[in-house]
Amino acid sequence: MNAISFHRSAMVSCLAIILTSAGRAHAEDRPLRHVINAEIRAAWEKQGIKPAAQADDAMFLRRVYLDLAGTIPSYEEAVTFLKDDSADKRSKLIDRLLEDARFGKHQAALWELALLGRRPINNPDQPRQAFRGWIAERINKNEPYDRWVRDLLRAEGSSLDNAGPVFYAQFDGKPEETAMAVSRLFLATQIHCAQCHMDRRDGKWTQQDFYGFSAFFVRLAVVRRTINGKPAVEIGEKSTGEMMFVGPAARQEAGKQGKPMPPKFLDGAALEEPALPKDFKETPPKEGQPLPRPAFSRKEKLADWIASAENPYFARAAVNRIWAQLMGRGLVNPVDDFRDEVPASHPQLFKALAQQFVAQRLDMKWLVREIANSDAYQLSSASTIAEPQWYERGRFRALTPEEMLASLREASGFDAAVRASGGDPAKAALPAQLDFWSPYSFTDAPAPGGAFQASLKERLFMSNATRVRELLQPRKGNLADWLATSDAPVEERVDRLFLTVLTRLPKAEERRLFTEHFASGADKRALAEEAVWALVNLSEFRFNH
Amino acid sequence: MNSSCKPVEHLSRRAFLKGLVGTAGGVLANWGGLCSSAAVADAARKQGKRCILLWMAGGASHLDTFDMKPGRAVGGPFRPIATSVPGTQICEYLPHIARQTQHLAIIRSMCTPEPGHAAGTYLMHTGYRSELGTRHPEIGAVLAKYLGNPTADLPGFIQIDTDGGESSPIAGSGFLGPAYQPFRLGHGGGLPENTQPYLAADSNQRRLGLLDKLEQGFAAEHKAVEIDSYRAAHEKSVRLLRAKGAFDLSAEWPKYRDLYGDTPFGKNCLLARRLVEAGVPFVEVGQHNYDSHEDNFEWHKALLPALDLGWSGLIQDLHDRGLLQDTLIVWMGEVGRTPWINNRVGRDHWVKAWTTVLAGGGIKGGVIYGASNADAVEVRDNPVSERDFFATIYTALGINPNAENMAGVRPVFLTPKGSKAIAELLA
Amino acid sequence: MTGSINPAAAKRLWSIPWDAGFVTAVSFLGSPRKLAAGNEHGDILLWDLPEQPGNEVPPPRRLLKGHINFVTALAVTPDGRWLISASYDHTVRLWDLSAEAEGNVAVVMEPKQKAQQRAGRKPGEKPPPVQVEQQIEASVRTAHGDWVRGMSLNGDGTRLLTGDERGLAVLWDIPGGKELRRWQVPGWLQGVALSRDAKQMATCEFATRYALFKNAAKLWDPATGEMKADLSQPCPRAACAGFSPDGTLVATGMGGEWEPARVCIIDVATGKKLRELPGHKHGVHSILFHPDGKHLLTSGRDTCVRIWQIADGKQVGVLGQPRGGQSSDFIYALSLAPDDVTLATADMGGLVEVWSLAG
Repeated sequence: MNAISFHRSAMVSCLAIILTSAGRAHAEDRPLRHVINAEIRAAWEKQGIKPAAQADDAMFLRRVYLDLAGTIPSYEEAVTFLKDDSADKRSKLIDRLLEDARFGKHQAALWELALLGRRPINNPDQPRQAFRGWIAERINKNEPYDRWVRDLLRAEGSSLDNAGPVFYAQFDGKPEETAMAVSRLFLATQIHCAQCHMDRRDGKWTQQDFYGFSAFFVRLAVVRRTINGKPAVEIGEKSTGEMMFVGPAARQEAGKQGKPMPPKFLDGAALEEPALPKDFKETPPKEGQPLPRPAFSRKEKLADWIASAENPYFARAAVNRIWAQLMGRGLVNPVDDFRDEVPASHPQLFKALAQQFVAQRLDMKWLVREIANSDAYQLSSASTIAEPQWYERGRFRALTPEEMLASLREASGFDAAVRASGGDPAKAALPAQLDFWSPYSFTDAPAPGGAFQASLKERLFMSNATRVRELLQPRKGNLADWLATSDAPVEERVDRLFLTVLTRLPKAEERRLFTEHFASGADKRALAEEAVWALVNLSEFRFNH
Repeated sequence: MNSSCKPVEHLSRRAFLKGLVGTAGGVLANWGGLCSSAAVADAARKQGKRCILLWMAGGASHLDTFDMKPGRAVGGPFRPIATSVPGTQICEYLPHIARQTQHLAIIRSMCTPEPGHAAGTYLMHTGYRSELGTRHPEIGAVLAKYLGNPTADLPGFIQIDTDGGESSPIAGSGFLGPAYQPFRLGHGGGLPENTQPYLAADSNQRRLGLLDKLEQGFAAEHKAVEIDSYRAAHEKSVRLLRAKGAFDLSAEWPKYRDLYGDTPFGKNCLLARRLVEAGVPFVEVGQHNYDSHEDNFEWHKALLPALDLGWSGLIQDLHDRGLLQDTLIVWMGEVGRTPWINNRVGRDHWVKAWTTVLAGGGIKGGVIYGASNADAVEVRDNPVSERDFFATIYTALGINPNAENMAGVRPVFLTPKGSKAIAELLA
Repeated sequence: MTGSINPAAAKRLWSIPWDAGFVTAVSFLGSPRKLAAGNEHGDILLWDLPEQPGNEVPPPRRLLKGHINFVTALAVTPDGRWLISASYDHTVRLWDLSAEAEGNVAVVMEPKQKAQQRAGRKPGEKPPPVQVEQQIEASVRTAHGDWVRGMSLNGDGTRLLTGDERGLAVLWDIPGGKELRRWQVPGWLQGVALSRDAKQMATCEFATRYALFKNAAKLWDPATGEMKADLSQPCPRAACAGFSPDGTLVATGMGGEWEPARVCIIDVATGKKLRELPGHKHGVHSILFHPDGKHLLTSGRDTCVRIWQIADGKQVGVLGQPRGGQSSDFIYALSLAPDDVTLATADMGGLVEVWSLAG
């Protein structure tokens, strides 16, 4: 409506600036992957950096499986790819993985982490499975990013099968918290300082901005109901209710009257709202009926404004986040904090990514495909550079708890053991006691700047927890069991061990080392368990690289 | 509830409309080139000092503990009591500490720049404001480096119950490198989980041997700070098993329960004593949570008894063991709290005048340094910045605050240039 | 002279500003036109209100000087003679309202800057103090060693129950001037209640956070001292309690700042929860059964007095509105006059408000 058209005119001038200042010719005409290659290379040249070589097949294979499917490949998948000698096998693998159901699941896990964080799981307001399932379905169908985000922000339906209500429920009906999260997550704009700071005149966010934006959420109510016997949450929106502003939070004196703040978009445009009739009465919710719709929905207007291809920060925040997922570090870092003083590391590339993403109608699979097919993505991580700053080598990225669980499951041969005992792996879950790696008990936040700091607790867990032992030790059908009982020649056993756990063949000296190990004469089951344990505890396993 | 505020960096509305971008920079980190800090470390280690930080997560109210303002509108319902130092009064809910005040140096004139939780916690753990491109080490990492024994089995930097609250982890070991990372125990303190090996020695040896050889091969072709961090943690996990008895309170707890108070915080204070006794140079014990934007007085009334017993028990116990003169106990939070009481009967953040307390190792006891004005809105006498505060602490521990470490190609001092230790506080 | 209430038509009669601090306790003094209120500094003021409500805000007539910290509760004997007050200063004091004053003192009613602006005075000009008589207490009870948060007087004014934050509850014989019984519980007694006939007793042990005890709500027999029921499960986080006029029901209100506060109504004989009333946005500080036995009044941290129908749990009236943006202001106390339709509230915005529930 009016707010968007007002915004559009400002946005038109914004696009004009982008287009005219794009130094390279017609950035939007070339395939994005070529733009990526050119811009990354240009930065290396400018910095005088010699990059690493391209990753070999094994390295690429493991990396792309983790990034697109959230798990290491199985032994069979690894062998198939490594044996394939077609020239385009890498791009074909990328295409295949994008169509794999695991792609949406993995993306959903990443978005869940971003949108909900690691809050405790036993919260009936937040059925995590339903949340993830909703996002996974949208992403697998390749619904455009703006469409599913807008639906999320509209939050219709109940938490039993919709992500939106779960998203809003975490803020417990507090408009300030909701405003801060929405602007941080979808626009990479942090406004929390403005909640307390006095008004300023130097163009920074003022308290008026903050409370004006919060006003979009003040009429929302988190309504808890029982649907089909299950606890569920719905987001109601009233037709009345105002954001009352009394000045700085630190100066909340008793007895002060507040004044209502009308809703204001972050670019300053006010929301035009129709006046309510004089004797308007709110419709109360009725038991068993869907929640009443408000006379005018601020929430819908907000959703439309944020999740719009025309909102310049929406597309940028998205491409930066997806770039960071695949490349290990955003062009702007951290990904939820765009600041004047911290511009993008590759400004032209950043512009091109955002532009083309918009031109492609915010097609997520397209974006992932382009990035994954770039040379920059496929660089080797083997190099003497301890801390890359210009994407001159593949980065070391610690596996998330979800990725560790999935990869440990694959590496240990858990599914084969389930089958051997007559079960169905699709229905079998890992033992709940692997709780260190449970995404919901995993609270170690990344250190400032996103740097990885290894945890002594984690090492103690992997070394001494009996739950880990139970997963890795020989059980009929699993990897350790096969190693202990197979009569295949030892070289074959070592090869299979490496391919299963590390997705590559062993080097000559590694083959020698393990051959000696298996020939050492100690108990075969112990030797097998030790071998599997050693490999899953390597840096090589712990990181995506 | 308040969150961190970085006044320096905001996204301006103008930029939002125009989408301005520019070029970036970056700093390489190599792990603590020794430079002159080796000599500093040798000298410090000889003195054998230790440090315990009692961390009041959320920011305890100094107006309701050590800087009472009886009779003023900002004073609140708590009342002061006399202490073992004539003329010095503290809160009625710290009666045991009141009997130990002769060991304390109370600094009532802290004046710091960061009112938010994350930024304030970073500031009061590193002595520096957060800067882009530089990862400062926490005080624990600095002490682990300068006072710790590199071959010791116990980690040199231990944090107990500093999780929870809004900044976790805080800054870690920053540019000093993964060797000085914090080892963190949760709320229960006690024996760390998973310290009971399930394998016989020979089996364990074999699997560790495989691991080490493979890692060596991998490291020959891969350099990455993440790998270094991961390997350092592995080394520590092996060594920790040898020394884990230090975490076991069961033998001593029956004897010390009454002294430290039968609370989780009390137990953690006893654990801190045991760890410094075993040679750990730095132990931090957190108490949660003082961020009383509402019900300030109820929260403090609930928390102060545990603090009172745990802290006074620690002072008494160290004193009885002859360890107090070599163990510096630091009491602080990330911020102080507002003089005025808000409409949730809470106090919000205030950093223009607040209080920290030092005791033991190298510090002159029975001292009140600095003063706030009548309503604790501003410092009246002798303002103390976080840099001078840290300089005082390092000096008391025998470490030259001007020691340098390399953050990439840039030397960074332990405390910012121009910091000065406060002579009146040093014994 | 009692009347029946008409919650929908309730209206405000007077709004008396006393900005010296939070107003933390209030009580009518045996008549709907005689009022006492206490504040966070320990001051207690008495007012005589004019018969007809109007714009004139009457000045206080007397200051009761004695307490040196928060006044947490005020109660008056039915004959209007004795005012009883409890405080954070660990004491319970009795005041003889028929006693002569002892001297005069100047009381500044509105010391804060904003109040000056509200009154139209120039900023910087101090408001003139009001001369009031002053009086000291008749006696001080020092049984308690910590903040006395809970206090409840029975119907005929002969039995008083007080509770402190060291968990000590004391039942007093007021005319006889002595203690009858003591109870020691683990937690802070933020609320205590005696039924009208003093045959039932309830205690609420509550702290919003971090305390080392478990929140609890209990029913006791005052005569034998024994615990009759543990209501901690059905009534979590209970911070205040009140009995129905016939003593068959007890209601508890949840304390705390951010969480929505529910009110539980319990059948005393069986200990079973009959009803839960949602609806207070933040914690409840006061619970009052109306003498008509049909209504319940609650107030607390959302600056509203809510009037409920006991039979069906419906909210039939709301007095007041939340103030401010980040949070509302507390109403610390409620008092109902003997005419059953005049209500007074004390709130942290420095106001004593008097309402008519009859319209």
